[in-house]
Amino acid sequence: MNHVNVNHMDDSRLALLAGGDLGFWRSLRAHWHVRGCERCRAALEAFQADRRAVAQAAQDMPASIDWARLSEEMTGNIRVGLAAGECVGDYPAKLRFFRFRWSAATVVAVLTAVFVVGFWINLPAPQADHLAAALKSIVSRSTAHDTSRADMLVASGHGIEAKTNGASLSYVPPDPGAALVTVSTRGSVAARSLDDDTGQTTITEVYDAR
Amino acid sequence: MRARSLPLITVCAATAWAGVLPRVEFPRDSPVSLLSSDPAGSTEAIRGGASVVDVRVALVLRNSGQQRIRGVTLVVLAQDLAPGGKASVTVPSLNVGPGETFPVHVDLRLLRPYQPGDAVVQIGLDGVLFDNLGFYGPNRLNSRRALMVYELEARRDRQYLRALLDSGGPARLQQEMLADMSRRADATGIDVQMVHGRATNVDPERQVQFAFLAFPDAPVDSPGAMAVVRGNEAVTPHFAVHNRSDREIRSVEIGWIMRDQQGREYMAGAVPADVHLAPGERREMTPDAVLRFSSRTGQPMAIAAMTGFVSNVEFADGHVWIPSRMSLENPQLAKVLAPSPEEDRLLQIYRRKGLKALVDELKKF
Repeated sequence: MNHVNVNHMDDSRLALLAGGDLGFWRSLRAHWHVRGCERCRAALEAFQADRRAVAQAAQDMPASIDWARLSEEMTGNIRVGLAAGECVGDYPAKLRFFRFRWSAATVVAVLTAVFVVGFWINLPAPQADHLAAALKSIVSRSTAHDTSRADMLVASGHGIEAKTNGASLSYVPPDPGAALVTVSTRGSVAARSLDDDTGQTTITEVYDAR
Repeated sequence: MRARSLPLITVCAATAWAGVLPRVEFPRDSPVSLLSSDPAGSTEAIRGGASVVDVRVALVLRNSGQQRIRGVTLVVLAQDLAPGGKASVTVPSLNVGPGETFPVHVDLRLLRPYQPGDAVVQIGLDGVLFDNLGFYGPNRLNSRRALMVYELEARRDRQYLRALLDSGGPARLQQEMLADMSRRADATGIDVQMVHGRATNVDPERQVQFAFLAFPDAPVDSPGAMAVVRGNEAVTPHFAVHNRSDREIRSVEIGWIMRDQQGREYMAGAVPADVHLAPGERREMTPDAVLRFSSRTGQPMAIAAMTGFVSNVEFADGHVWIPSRMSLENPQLAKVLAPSPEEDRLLQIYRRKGLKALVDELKKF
């Protein structure tokens, strides 16, 4: 079957094919192509003829020349040339896009680092410490088991209070300023007040919900 | 506990009152009985979506037992109104003989999301302490230890004042009363908030070692104590306690003094813990608490230093140790430590009735 091949093999591949250096799968594909392409077949035959001629000439060359080694060096040079051609050739659009993105990200990262370092250096020490503690607190809260509760106990100049989920239980002494308020870490707050008339001391204590 | 095995009876009928029903219930064999209960001051008001319930009950109790009563603790349960909803009212420094009466005022405010319908506030008995240091009651709020401490403090302070009277006469007693009044006038309080297991301050944290005031006669000392401090917050204080007595210990209470950046000191709170300590044993106390300090004007008070001292110890046999007057004469403690309830009562007698009334009162015991 005759068909028209508009994409011909380049000379370097044909040369490697002629020398049996193209590799198994690539040779298979190249042979398939050459079978249907007159131009490439002609070029391949020319390379094969040159090869035979060179081999013949090699027999006439001085014995000190290692033809096999020379052949390997030439083959190696051809491969290096092919690889170099790939490098300088056009990048696919997708790869170009990624390369651009990485470049932009690097620039942004460097600028951010410069900004952060500059900001940190110029920040007064107390604020810097405060900021560091805040960041540390955020990190530790996100990793630590949260044992927070809605319970709160308050002992103040106004009296005492136990708050839980929007409800509260409190005591306001008759003379809040004079009352003595205390906190117990067991979970209670107490207020001590003295009745002016009877002289009797009363200690009122409210407890958290634990 | 005798009270637990006995059925509770309603001594006083509930007062039909819109919204909240204060109900007083004492055990059948209680050494105090209810003579009258007046809930007239109690009100309920609806404010927006919340209701504010003021529970004001004036009780008159009678000593229906055979021994003099030194102190009483009532428990107030309002679980229908607030989660937890538990309070207590303690009257220490009593001297009520058999058949005599004494008043107790319950005055609490409950704020809760509005819910139509009636709710019950129960008032019961948690404990009664007698003059022979015997105790009656369910003791669910650990009122035995508290009443014992108040009573031992009262005996210690009366003995101290009586010794002053005997050695220096009324003039020396008067001098002491004036010094007490001056100390009370100089004392400034602070506001304290306490939460469990949560710190909200983002200030840099540091570990602050407690200075520990050692009392020579204390059965417990602390080889080390510290807390994490962030600005005005102290997080999870940690105390090592060592039993240096030859008796088994049931519980220890540590007093906590806080010093601010200006060098002023305040009584920050009490750290009680049930720690069973064999003679010579050492253990750690780490209450789950975050304490936040601010001035009475609401300004956060950064913590500069902290001091601890053993304020009382309860032995396994029920005996209680408290610091002696000599120990309390430490200048650092004298500035911040509040007078005992008995000292307060005696000071009030001096202020309102004069020196002679105080001398007469001291001679009663």
